[in-house]
Amino acid sequence: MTRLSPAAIRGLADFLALGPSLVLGTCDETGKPEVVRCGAARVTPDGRLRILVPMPEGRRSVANLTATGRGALAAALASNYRTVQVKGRDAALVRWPEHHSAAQEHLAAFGAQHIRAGVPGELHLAMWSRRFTVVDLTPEELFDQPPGPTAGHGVPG
Amino acid sequence: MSPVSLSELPPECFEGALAAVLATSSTDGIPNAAWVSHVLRVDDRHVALWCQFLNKSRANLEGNPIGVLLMTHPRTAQQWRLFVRFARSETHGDTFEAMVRRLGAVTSLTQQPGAVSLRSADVFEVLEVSAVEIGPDKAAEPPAPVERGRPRTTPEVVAALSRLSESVAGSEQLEGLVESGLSILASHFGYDSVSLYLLEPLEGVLYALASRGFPHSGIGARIPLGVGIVGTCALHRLPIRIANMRHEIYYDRAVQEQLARSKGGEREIPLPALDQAASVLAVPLLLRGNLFGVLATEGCDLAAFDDCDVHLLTIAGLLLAQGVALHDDEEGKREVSAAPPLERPRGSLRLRYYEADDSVFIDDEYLIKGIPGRILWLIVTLRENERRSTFQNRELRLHPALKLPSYKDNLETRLLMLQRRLEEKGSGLRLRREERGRLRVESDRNIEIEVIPANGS
Repeated sequence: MTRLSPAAIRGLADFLALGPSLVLGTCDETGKPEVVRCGAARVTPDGRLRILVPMPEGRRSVANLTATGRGALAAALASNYRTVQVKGRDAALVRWPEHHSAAQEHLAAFGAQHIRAGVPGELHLAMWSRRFTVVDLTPEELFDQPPGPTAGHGVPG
Repeated sequence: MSPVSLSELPPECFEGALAAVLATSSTDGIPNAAWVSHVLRVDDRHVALWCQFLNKSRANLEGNPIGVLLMTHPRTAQQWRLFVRFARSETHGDTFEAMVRRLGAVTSLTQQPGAVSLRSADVFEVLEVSAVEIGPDKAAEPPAPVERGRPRTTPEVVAALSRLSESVAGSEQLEGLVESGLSILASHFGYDSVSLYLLEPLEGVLYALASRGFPHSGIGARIPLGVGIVGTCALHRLPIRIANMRHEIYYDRAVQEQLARSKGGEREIPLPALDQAASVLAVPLLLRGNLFGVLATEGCDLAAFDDCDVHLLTIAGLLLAQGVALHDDEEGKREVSAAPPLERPRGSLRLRYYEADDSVFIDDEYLIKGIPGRILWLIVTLRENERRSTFQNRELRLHPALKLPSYKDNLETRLLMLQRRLEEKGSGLRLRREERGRLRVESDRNIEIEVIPANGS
């Protein structure tokens, strides 16, 4: 079960629907970190964090998730750099037939964010592959990461 | 993917146009991912990050010094992973100073300079670099690098420099020199939006002498040393390049610049600036080791300017600066004939002069302040008191009310700025340079002068 409050989970779900840039941090069992851009992230009805990890570039990330169960998803809106990070555990690979439509929705919202931020129009289309491995995590901690001195402090709830 | 070396990464990746990501891990295996606004390439084996707000990453690196940086090319979306090992934190030296200057330029746009300080520059040894393998089924091929729309090959650049130097060498008038110089920067170099600032040493501020390609010219606008990109460039006498002005930290820069540089409310002229600027480059103009001014350009593309632009704009700016300085020197040596009388006035014009800051208002509209304001007040006062319309530069230089330095007074450039500001405002008062060393003040209206003493009484 997640330790986050229902309000925090709802806030996270709303934020992810805005089309933020998504990166997933993992590490292997020796502590060597890995990072990859992700194709979408959603909150499931039971409060799990569902992430679309693109392949082949996400191969090591998925291996790390399988080995350690832990991942950190950082999400930032290109238009205003509002940023959050979710740390999760108990990673599990899942089948999700709707993942293609979720990926399309995220790509459209992400592209709109990029355009608002002045990034060239088609750039977002080339940032990750379109084949995905879908991973669920139990959100454990949520961090607010504004570009300021409070970065890294937990969001209450 | 096969490893590549750090030196093979395109310089655009280090310009901060797209944020990088730093992933670390705690000693108990909990990963962390943080966005990093700027990565500096220190040498072929090291990079440095701002240690400003990376609280969790720093804590992780204390126990586990290995991290991975994800960097993205701002025009092709190609990505690289840099596996790094934390090496040291630097609180002085070239790397730290380079970051302080950049941070200073950025923070001065959004808050009072110095409000955010750099804790340290964190230097990482780069262990391995690998290109991120994106599958063939991505939504689009990576875009081709955006052509910047201006010549970058040697023959064109040499021709452009030749054209500029010919123009500078051949200009009889200071106004023509500045105008044609900025035009050539647009037509031959592709810098469509450029502004030239000159230092006013007596006031410690820069004045916008001329600009091209902005919604408003900003002629006469002032910016103190150390404020904004131009002021920071001047203070440190080093080029400042911003690759992504739309980052939140640069947001609303026009408003914030005004706040930072103005305590006078309406008594400031807006700086020349593009509303949608994504990239800015400002280079200092140094003559004989002294700061003369700043040449700045803006563009609407991300990472529009690179190292080549820094060199090119510096060469072009120095050519212009030498031309301007030469005109000022020559003007000081000329003697000229005397003047015709005033024209007959029709109607009146009210000029209000505030002694406190030398600001001048014409018919209640702010015109200019500082030394240019004092010059205008003096020549209009002389015109009214002595009933003559022309003045020799020499008599202005020597007039005790202006308190100009006996050496390098930049009077010609100040008069040019004043002339153009008056033209822009259409205030019924005009300056004309009839010939070198002689200035004519024109108005078909009777000028009423009101002086507000410094004590406000």
